[in-house]
Amino acid sequence: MKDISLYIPGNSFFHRCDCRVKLLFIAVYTVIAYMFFTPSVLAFLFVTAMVFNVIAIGSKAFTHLMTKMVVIMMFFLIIIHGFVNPVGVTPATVYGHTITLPFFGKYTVEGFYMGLVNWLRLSSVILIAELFVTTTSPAEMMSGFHKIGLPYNFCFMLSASLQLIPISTREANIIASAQRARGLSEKTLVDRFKGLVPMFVPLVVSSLGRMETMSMALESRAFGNTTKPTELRDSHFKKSDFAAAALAIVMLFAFAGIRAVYGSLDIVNQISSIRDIFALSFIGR
Amino acid sequence: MSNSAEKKVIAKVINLEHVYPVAKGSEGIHALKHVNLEFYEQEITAIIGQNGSGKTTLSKHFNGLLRPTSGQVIINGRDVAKRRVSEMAKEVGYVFQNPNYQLFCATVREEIRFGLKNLKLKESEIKEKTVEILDEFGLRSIAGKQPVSLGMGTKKVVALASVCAMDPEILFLDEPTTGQDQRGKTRLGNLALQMKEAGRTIMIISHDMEFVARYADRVVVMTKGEVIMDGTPEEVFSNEEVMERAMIKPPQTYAIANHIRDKDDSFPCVRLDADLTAKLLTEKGLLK
Ligand SMILES: Nc1ncnc2c1ncn2[C@@H]1O[C@H](COP(=O)(O)OP(=O)(O)O)[C@@H](O)[C@H]1O
Ligand SMILES: [Mg+2]
Repeated sequence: MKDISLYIPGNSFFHRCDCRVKLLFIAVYTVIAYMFFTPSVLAFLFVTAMVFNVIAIGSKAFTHLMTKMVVIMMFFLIIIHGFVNPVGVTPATVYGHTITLPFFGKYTVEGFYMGLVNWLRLSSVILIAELFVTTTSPAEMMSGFHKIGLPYNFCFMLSASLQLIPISTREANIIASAQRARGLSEKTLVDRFKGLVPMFVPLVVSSLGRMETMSMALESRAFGNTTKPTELRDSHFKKSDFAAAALAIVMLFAFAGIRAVYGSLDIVNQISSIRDIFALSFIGR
Repeated sequence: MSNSAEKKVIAKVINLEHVYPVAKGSEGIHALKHVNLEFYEQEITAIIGQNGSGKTTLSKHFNGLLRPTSGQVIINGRDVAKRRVSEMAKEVGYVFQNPNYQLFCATVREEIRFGLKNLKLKESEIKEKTVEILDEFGLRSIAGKQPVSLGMGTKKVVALASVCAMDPEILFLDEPTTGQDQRGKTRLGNLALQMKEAGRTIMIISHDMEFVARYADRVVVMTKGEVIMDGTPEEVFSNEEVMERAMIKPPQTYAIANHIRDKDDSFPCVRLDADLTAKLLTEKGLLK
């Protein structure tokens, strides 16, 4: 049984980093990703985000749920855009052949370009968010959200529900074994889906029950008495936090400068083959 | 067991070992170490031991919910490892510790029907059997109720009924008495006795020593993944060394008898009977 909890405990630079700095990085990456329309800048964001993840959690960065999501998205976005994006005109040649799908027509160079750009954008943001969720413990996350101004009750709700995910998974596994122990066949995929529906009842009931117990426990411990409770883990900006935040700000201004001088670096009108995309974005025109 | 020689062996555990894998690189949790046991028909066996001693792990091998790291579990002459859990369900009934997780149907009646449907019985047979079971377990009046809305004690009975409906030869009860009041315990105990009379093999995991002493024919003591003793309740509960190793407190009457036997070998081991104990104590002049 795999634990799907998102947080991976550790002691890397990013684990020690203040939660707000990591949120700043997410913001900066998102803004930069949507300022540019060229694979080169986006690839830079993608690679740095991935490197950060490797520094933070090592080889788990490649097997993490969110990384897998990025890989799956690559196939979907690049394939779908290639066939359906309306900017596509030039058919792409793959080893001298064009690819045609019935109803969708030809796979186009411009469509591939759009797919690549959109995938790199989304995945840069997802990967930097992965860095945040894997290196920030629920307690820190809660205090971080509170510090950037979200209401305390909301923060508590958020972190409490994040912690419930692994519990629900564990319960789902127990219920599945109970069903099998009572003879529910597990041979085919259809069989497994049949078991899913009855699973919801005990799952929902148990989480409602747990919520009720939790809310009573919270109230009996004076939750909500103040909107500014003392933090469980009070964090202050350290030198390294300032340095990391400065790096994020510098990145933001540097890329904003590039954007102001050179524009979004959109080359969609200058390409006529997939090779062009790489030549123009990475080697220069 | 005195009479175990004549009884038919239903289940056999041979050199069973189970290691729970943990993170890569580390060794894993050695939850069972070379366990050898035999279980006979028409017998209630209690498996006792501290939390984490491997009782649940052992029990889950009987219907294939867990697969052995090494060794075998043989039921009716066939190796469990080669069979699917759903296939085992008609031979081995398993009542989980927490009834909340095993009741997932809309009504108590549906709950009973669930296993029968999985056995692919004819509708007429299912109907008949359901009525029979509802009566047997005294659930008729609540047959249309949602299991979720029932009290903990009744839920346990429903869970037990839903498993017994499938007529398994072997029945595993994981901590059936936790959260039960005296009435619920007596009810469960009597149901266990009834099923034993019907020829089933029953295994009970429990921390409730009074319950074990009252209903079990045989007690298996586990610590740290090993079976350290296997005998009648009298033998087990009067063995102070084993009790200490397993960190188990025997029922009070046994404890009293054990204390007296420290000084007086002739004092018998008394099977859970306060009146008899009191009488013996008076005879010995220890109680005035
Ligand atoms: N799913 C699991 N993964 C890893 N270790 C487990 C798992 N289930 C049980 N264990 C470990 O195996 C040992 C035996 O557990 P268990 O069989 O549940 O004991 P008991 O039922 O006697 O309390 C314990 O050390 C427990 O921590
Ligand atoms: Mg257990």
